[in-house]
Amino acid sequence: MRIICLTWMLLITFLGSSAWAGEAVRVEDPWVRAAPPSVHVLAAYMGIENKGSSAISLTGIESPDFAKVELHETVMTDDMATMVPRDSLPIDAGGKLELKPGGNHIMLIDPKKPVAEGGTVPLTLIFSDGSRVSVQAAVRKAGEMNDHHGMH
Amino acid sequence: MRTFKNLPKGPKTALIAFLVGSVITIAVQIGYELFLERHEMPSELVGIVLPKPRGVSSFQLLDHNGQTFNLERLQGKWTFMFFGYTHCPDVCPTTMGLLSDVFKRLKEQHPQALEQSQGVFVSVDPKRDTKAALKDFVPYFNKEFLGITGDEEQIQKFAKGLGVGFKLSEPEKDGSYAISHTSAIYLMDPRGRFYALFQSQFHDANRIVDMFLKILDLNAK
Repeated sequence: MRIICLTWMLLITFLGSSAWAGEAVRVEDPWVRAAPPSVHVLAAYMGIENKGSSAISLTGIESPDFAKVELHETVMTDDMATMVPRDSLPIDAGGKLELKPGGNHIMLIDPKKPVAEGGTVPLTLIFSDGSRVSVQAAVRKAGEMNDHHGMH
Repeated sequence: MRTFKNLPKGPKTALIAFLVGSVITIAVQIGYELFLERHEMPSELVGIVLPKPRGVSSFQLLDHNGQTFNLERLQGKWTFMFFGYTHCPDVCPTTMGLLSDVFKRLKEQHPQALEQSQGVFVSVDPKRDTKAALKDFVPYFNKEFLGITGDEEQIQKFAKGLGVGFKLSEPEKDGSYAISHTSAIYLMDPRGRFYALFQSQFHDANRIVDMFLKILDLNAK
């Protein structure tokens, strides 16, 4: 029982909190906002740290669970919110890109299967240097930090 | 013909002095009236509560249960209202999540305030946001929240009356489109008048609850 518990915790830690791409990129707390089952679009958020010594850009995202995945930024002008598609988002050497509600976000379009709260969504991030990082984003409501994340 | 240019210097100066004087007098008067109006208002509410509640003209919309949603439905309760669309992945669920937190907090800590409140999501995308789509989307955030849709023209009219703007983007190849829209939360008073506006920089559940309680206080006096 203990071993199962331990394995489970390790697994969750691995899936939910961070992933390493080579040594350059670190993904923090990838998550998808839980939404009603019938929605056509969802948003994914995360922090992406560039630990490398040169600037890179996030140039694309793939997920087998959606018909289309795009990068967007919510831009506010006079309290009007507009979504602007972004081809790539730069991350300075040593810098961090925050994908968060009301700002840059990943738009997940037309789910091929239900996205349930408590589940995960596989995402592959593609960078300008050709590297790819795969993460599992936890599906949860906003404001609920990943419990396991807080323990590190 | 006697134009301003042809006037002799004396009357010209007098006319300018008169105009400048009038403008100053009017400005001072407006300033003083605004001051009087806001005098009783807690400072946190200045810029949020309208100097005077603004009535809206009649409208005819539909709620997600198929019932008429008109001015009458705004009577007797404070209505928190947000304009959005269900194909919106970021701002709309974020704001609806926030409203859900506001109502949860009211339920837990201020049930009397909750009793006087309702939450409404008005679609700016009636083409895609059918009653069924809204019935699925809106109660997800709070079972009591109502999704509102209707004729495009009626929605336009209602939105315009509140100063809500929205604009469809150029559709993509597959026909999908996004909509730019006001991200503020509108508060209507129990007489169905536009009472306060929470712009996105004030979108924090605790802050909105605090401001709302102050508004209730102000109206209880």
